[in-house]
Amino acid sequence: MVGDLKVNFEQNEDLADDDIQVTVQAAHLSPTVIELIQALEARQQSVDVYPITVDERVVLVPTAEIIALEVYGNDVTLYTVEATYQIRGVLKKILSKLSQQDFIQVAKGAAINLNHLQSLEAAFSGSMTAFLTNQLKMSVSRKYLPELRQQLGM
Amino acid sequence: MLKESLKSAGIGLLIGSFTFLVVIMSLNSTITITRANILSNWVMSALIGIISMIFDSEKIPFAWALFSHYCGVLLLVGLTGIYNGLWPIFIAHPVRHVLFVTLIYALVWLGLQISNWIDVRRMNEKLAKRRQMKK
Repeated sequence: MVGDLKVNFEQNEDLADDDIQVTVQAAHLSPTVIELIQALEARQQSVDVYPITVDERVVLVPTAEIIALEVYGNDVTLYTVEATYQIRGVLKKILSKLSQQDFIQVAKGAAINLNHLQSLEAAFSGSMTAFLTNQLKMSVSRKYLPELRQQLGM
Repeated sequence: MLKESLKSAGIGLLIGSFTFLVVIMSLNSTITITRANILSNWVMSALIGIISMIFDSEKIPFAWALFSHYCGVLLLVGLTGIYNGLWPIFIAHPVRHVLFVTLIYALVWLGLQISNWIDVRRMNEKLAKRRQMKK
C-alpha cells in the first residue's frame, strides 16, 4: 500500500535532453519503495522503440509492434505487425534492450513478445507451438518452457 | 547444467518409483523386494531421467531422440534386470521382455502427454487472463 504519494517536477537545465533524474524520498526503504525503484529501473532498461538499419536508413520500430525474433547465425528476422525485417545482431543483446516482462526466449534462436502470444499447443515431442499475431507460429523448446511458465505466473 | 541434470534425475526418480510400484502391484504372485532391488530401481530411474535430457536438444531431430531414448531405456532396464538376477527370464522370453518394457514406455509417454496437455490448458488460461489485464 502506498500512503501519500506526491509527484513533483523540477526543471534541471544541467541535464541532457533525453536524461531524466528521479529521486525517490521516503521515511524508510520499505518494500513499496523498493518496488517503485525497480519499476523505474525496468523502465530505464527497456526501450519503447527499437532502432534498426534497413537499406541504409534507420527505422524506429515500436517494441509493442514486435511479434517475434528469429535468429540464424548473425541474421535476425524481426517480425512486426506491419512488416518483417532482416537485420544483423545477437539475440541476447537485442533481448537485453527489450522489456523483460514482455519478451521471452522460447528457443535457442527465437524469442516472442508475450503480448502477441495468442495461444499455445502441446506437441507430441514435449515441446509446444506458440500461435502469435499475424498467424505466425513458433516452436517453444522444452528447455525454455519453465521460463515461459514462470513468466505467465505459474 | 548440473542443476538441470539433477532436476531431470529427480523427475526420472519419481516416474520410475511410481512405475515400479505399479508393476509390482500388477504381478499375480507375491514377491520379496530387497533393498538392492529398490536402490537399483532408483539408480536406473535417475539415469533414465538424465538421458531424457536428449529431448531438450534442438539440434537432434525428435524421431532420432525418441529412438535413442527408447534404446537407452531398454539397455538400462536390461542392465538393472541382470543386476537383480532376472537374466534367466530375459533369455527365456526376450520378445516378451521387450514388449513389456515397450508397453510401460508407451504408458509413461501417454501419462506425460496428458500432463503436457493439462499444462498447456493452464498456460492458455493464464494467457487469457494476462490479455484481459492488459486491456
